[in-house]
Amino acid sequence: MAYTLITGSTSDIGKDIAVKLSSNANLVLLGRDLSELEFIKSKCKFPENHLVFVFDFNDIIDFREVFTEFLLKNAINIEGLVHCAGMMKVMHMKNVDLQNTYQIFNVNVFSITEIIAVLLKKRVNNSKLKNIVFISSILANFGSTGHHLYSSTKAALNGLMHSLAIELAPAIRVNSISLGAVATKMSKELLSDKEVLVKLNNDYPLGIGTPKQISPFVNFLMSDDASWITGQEFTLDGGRTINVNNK
Amino acid sequence: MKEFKEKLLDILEVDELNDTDILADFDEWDSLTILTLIATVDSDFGFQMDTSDLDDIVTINDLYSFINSKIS
Repeated sequence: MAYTLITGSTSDIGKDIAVKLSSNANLVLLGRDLSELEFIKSKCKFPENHLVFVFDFNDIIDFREVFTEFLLKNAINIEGLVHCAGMMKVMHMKNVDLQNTYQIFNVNVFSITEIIAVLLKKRVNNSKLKNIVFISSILANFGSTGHHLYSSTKAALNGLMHSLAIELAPAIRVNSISLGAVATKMSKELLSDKEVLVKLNNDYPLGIGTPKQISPFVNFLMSDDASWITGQEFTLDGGRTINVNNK
Repeated sequence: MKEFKEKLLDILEVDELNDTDILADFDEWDSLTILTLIATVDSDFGFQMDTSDLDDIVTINDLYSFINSKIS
């Protein structure tokens, strides 16, 4: 059976993508928390068709082995891959240490390089992988105080996307979506500040985004309607990065 | 907690801390320091503080008590 794997599927964006894709695909929902994964599975169309896989990328060393075993045991192939797992750390650069750096790179970048490496092995996935989408950020290309680690992980994803699109063509399409600010659990902390909210409303011509404004585009890229699209970074940011008004 | 205290010295760029020291009085205390503290608490203790939690946290001891109440 062919499945689509969604990392970070318990995040607000991941959850919405899961529900959207569940009409057309069998899903593997990957996340840290079993009960949250089961809850999201129950919100999907045809819950009985989907699988959950619990893993915490904070500690990535055992991942390959555990993931390979999961695929072989369930006798499934992964055809589509949506990488939503992501953490944000906002801090002074002078206080960055290796622990912080490993943690955010494990979750945001090394998770997906490990997954793809496994999925490209013929004896594990039978050359079934067809389509990859990374959820990246406009901070991959633009700067913001305190966001250095996050920015560099998202830039890494876009770099990975470009080279994989070439290396894996024509069998596999690879694209990324660079998001502006989206109202989620992860951004709740930043968006709870009234000053920040006023500034964001000035910066975003269409206002800040919601997960529902992202999942239809992911669904499109994952579909055959996007069959001539690869190696592209799409910006979904409500016009944030083209706004040069200075209010 | 010992490791966290070491990190706090580093974040506030001081050699020692007293329980009664007021966070807002440190030269290094600014909005990004608050976010640094939140990120450090998250990676050391596994929970996400809200900036509003800091409304009631005035001293170093208040901070330790708050963390202890969350992890116990």
